[in-house]
Amino acid sequence: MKTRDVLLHTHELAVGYRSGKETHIVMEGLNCEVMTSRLICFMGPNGVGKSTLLRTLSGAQAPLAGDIFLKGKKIKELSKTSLASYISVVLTDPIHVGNITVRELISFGRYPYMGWNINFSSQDADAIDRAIDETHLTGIENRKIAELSDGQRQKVLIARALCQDTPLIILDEPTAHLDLNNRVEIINLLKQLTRKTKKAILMATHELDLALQTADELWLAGYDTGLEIGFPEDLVLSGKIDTVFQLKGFDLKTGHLEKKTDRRNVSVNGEGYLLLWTRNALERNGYSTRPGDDLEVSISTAEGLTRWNTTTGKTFETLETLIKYLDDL
Amino acid sequence: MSHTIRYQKKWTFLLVAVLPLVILCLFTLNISLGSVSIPFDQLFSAIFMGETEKSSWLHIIWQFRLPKACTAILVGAGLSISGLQMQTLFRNPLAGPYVLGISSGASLGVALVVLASHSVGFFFQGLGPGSWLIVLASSTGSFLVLLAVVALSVKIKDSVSLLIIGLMFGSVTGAVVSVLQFFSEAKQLQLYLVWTFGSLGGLDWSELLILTLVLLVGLSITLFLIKPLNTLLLSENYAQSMGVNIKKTRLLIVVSTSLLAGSITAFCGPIAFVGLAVPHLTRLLFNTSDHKILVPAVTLSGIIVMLLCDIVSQLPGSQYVLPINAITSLIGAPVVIWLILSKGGIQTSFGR
Repeated sequence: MKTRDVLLHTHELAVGYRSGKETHIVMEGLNCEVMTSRLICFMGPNGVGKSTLLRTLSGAQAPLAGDIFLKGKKIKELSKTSLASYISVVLTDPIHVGNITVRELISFGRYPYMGWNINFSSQDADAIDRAIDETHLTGIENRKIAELSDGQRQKVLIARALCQDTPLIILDEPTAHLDLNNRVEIINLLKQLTRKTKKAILMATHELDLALQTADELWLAGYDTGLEIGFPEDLVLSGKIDTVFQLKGFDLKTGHLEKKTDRRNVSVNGEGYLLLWTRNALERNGYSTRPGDDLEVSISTAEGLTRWNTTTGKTFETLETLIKYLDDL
Repeated sequence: MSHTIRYQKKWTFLLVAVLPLVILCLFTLNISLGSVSIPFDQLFSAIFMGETEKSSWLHIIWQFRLPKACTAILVGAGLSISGLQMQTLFRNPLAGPYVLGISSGASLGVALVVLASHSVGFFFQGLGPGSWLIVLASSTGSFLVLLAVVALSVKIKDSVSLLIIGLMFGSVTGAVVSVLQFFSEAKQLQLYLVWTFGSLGGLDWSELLILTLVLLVGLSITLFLIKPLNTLLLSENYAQSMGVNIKKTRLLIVVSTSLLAGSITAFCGPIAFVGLAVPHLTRLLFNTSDHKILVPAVTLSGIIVMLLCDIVSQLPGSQYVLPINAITSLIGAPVVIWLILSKGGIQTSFGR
């Protein structure tokens, strides 16, 4: 049973820049596919050419060689207006306008479908309403762009792309400069959109942890590894992510930072998140936490208060005082 | 019904009723004032019946006051719209109609005719603002600069380079004009200086007709640019992603601005300030950067500002007429400062 269609595919694509007589190839020999209702996270170190490839795929820049096909049609044979009905973008460009409302900015997304005099049909108005609704911007749609926080502004730009009503949305680092909460919200929003609207979303990002937990597919670009495409977990287990990022001090398979243990072993007795965070505190401070009978800390909870008891007969109310005690031993 | 549509209805009343009414009042006031006092009823009979108690009044109204008021309308609309286009294209609040070097080209043309003609041994009679030779010189000058700018705008990737090239043109022509001034005599210098003051008078009906036609072409191009101009508010890359052809749009904006600002400079001299200030005034008053509202609003506000400035420059009740260039800045600058202070800044028009 086939549930997904190929939306975009490339054939022996080479991307890069021509300046004067010099040609600078950033990536070449690319054969990739974008399917409908997929969230693809495109990752790779800075300067590897992620933005160049995204610009080329979105038609803003001509390929150096090879072809890009949108639903089987060559991208270079499409007019600018019809291209705008296939692909919408969210870019890293700073937005220079503050004095228009959220709703007005989102409504720009309808421009490929209207004439010079900008007359919104009820169909356009519906698309705008839907985009506002899907991005949870209801309530602030009449605020001015200048009054918004960075997270809200990013959602407005996503809503603008949504209301352009294209099967593919390409985003360049949509979560840069956002706090953790907003990053999670934006990625979850994009994931939901691929499920609800069958849109394909291709996004460049540096959020390795979030990408691993949400993406349907990862594109990995390294300096000399070419473009690796695959299921996130497969790429982790095959070690390809480590090769691309040349991770320093981060153990991807456990999902933790590599910690140096140069102090004594302390075994911990407890359960759940209390155990997790107690071990975290110990490891962060250089203690190893293998089971053993060297020194044991047991965690107890009574009347909503947590206590840490050591086998040396001491009781502590905070992890900070526990660690201080261990340090002085 | 949609909020987008309701939002736009809010401004329609102001645009189709209030501002045109203000223009009509100012227009009437403008032609009723002057060094010769003409009774109000005679004004109407001159315009609608073509007869007055004194035949000189008919002459004054038809040959001087009406052409001047009409010129003020054209200049206000044309300069303000070209300023708006430049500010949006360059996303720079300091841009105006002359950033592409149009007035520099015009001033070089005029300087060559007025100043250099003397050095080569002959002197033109009757050189004044609006005389055909001046018009020819300044339009040739601005046309040549415009050709260079258009050629470059097709080649150049980013708009900021275009802005800097325009400024460089200005410096070069400014330098040539200084050299010409250095070798000129007082009489020529004064003639040139009078041209740089700007003047709304001096156009006859046939010149007015030409100016009107050129401006209509320039303004119609702008009408078709409303959509691209709005997308340019975001960025050129965003505009492109919404199906806008950036190079074509940039070319059309340059052509429209050149037609508007170039023809006005040719007939009236380099009139400062209006093109820079009116778009800001309008954005602050209408509290939006949406070009669907701004284009008509800036046109109407530009007309109002220019009619007002012309009324003040005639110093009602006196025999003197001040240079229009001085008046536009003198009353315009305080108004802009006051608006910026009372509305808490214009950073929202172009910044974050």
